[in-house]
Amino acid sequence: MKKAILFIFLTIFFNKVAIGIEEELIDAGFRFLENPADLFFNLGQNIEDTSPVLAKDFKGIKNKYITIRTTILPVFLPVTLGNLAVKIRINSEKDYIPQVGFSFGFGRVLIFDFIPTEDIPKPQNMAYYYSLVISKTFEDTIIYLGTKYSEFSIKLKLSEQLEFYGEKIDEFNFNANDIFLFSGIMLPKRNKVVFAQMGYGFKYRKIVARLAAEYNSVQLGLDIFPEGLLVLHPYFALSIKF
Amino acid sequence: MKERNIFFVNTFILLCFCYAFSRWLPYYSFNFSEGIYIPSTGRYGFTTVLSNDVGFTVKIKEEHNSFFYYRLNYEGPGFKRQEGEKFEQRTIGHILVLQHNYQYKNFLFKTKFNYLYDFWRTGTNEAWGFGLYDNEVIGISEELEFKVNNELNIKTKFGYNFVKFPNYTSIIEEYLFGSEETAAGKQDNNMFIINLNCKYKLHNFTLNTIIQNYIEQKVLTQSGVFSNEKQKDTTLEFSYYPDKIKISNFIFFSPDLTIKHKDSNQSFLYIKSYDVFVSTPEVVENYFDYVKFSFSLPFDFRIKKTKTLSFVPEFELTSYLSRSPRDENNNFISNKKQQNQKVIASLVYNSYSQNERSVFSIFYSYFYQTSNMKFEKYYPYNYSGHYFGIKVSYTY
Repeated sequence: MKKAILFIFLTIFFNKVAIGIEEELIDAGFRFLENPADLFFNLGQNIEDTSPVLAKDFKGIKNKYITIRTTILPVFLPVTLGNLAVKIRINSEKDYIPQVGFSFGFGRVLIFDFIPTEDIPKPQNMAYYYSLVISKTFEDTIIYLGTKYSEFSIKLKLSEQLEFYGEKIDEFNFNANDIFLFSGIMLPKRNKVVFAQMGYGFKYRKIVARLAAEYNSVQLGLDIFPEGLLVLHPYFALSIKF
Repeated sequence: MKERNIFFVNTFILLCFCYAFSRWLPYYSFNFSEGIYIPSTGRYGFTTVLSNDVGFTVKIKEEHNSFFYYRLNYEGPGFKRQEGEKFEQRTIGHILVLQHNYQYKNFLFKTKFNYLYDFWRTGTNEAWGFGLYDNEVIGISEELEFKVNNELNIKTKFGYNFVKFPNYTSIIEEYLFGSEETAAGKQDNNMFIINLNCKYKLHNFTLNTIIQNYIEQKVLTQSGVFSNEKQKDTTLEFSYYPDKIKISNFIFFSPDLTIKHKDSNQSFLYIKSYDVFVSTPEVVENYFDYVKFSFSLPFDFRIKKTKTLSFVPEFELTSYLSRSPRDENNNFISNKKQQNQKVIASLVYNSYSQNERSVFSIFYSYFYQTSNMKFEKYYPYNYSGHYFGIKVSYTY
């Protein structure tokens, strides 16, 4: 029941086009052209995996050191943003010593490699991040705090000028980057870990949050960008742990 | 701040928390809600509310303990409770609190330091950090709690806040008086808080006084020039609320009543139109003085051990003491005083996890506000609306 209601709400909210579709799309188009970097920067953060690697054996989830993840939706499909994220824990927490871990990852919009470049310069693009996280287990709850650097850059000259309701576009050229401080909570359950985190970007004063469930080889979640063009980014990722 | 410095600061914060994690008892809370608001006037919209608290409790000795927490919160567009706020307005807030408690026999001393920075964004084109109403608060307070006996508890608190509005300027004053009257710091003020709370059995009575002495802002005189007197606002608030009253094993009741009086020596500069040939500026005295009555009657129904249903009706009446309302054309209606009435009725379904650390809620609120103020070019005064959505919370 709870999941069904959540799904209905997500369907309504996602893309903000459920009511008055044409007006919403035009409005969204203008907002995208006003700041295209923001949407791509948010998509770049969908590939990130900054929560700590689980510290202990919890209810069927094994104690691991490394997780490698690739995010399928909404980045590889439909944006063709191929990506890989790695998170590693350095130590096991002890009585007075919290767990320390780091993570990094990168991505690239693959379709740019297939654009004919006879008349235009070769498109350039890269998304990457790295982060440091500390965590501590309290009873059956893990609390963590971390910092990360995220960047998404695109340099793309269009072969033909596009026009959208009077707005003319002939290139996308930006480098969006920011340093975030974030904290979160992990609640291990029977065969998964539910976690929630929220962070703040100092440069753009950007709020980002994530609600997710991490299974042995799958991660399902919701990235929240309250000021973004698309506020909610549901995501689906595959992972390997060892 | 340079990126490298930010990264170093963050790493330092991590190291501090690293130590804190290892020694002290943590507190964490995450709240997220997403909803749709549909007003009777204007456009519907989506509301996101997010907050994240991280804190620690340190027990130094039996009678000494300290508490530290940091809150980051975001509030998106939606219906606003404060008069004069637009639906589209958003805020980001940072709050830091450091409190030390000292227990001496029946006395409990609470010394608190607080820091707050609020970013406001009133329009879509306004960038974060440039909001007219961005404000910074640095404060300290001392609270003394005296437990007379098991039935009577008395608290008193003295607090001081320095409130700074770094971006504030008055466009009207700039227009009329030139740049000299728009110097920065016009809304900066020294805020003094005196609070008295008495709890007898279930019943809580609170008297709160806030005095704001403005540092730069002078009082506008009837002749339209600034006097040497500085602006001073005084707010007096009385509230009564009992602890949760158990009506039966399934029904709980927690009413709340507040009466608030605000007095300001500042006058309002009224201009019907910016065209000086059409409109002559007019000074309205005691424009900001009002009395506000508000009460709520929340009922909680426990459906199951982990499921509750809450019904929360709220009422608010704001009555201005001198301000006349305006008609649709921005003309004052003489022989009348402005009055705003607000009714909010909310229905909330909560589902708790077994350990009560996570809560999933579905909510619906109906807003109804009426006023004899009919000039609504900039701010809405007469509207009704629906707001519904979901909320998720995790707490440790």
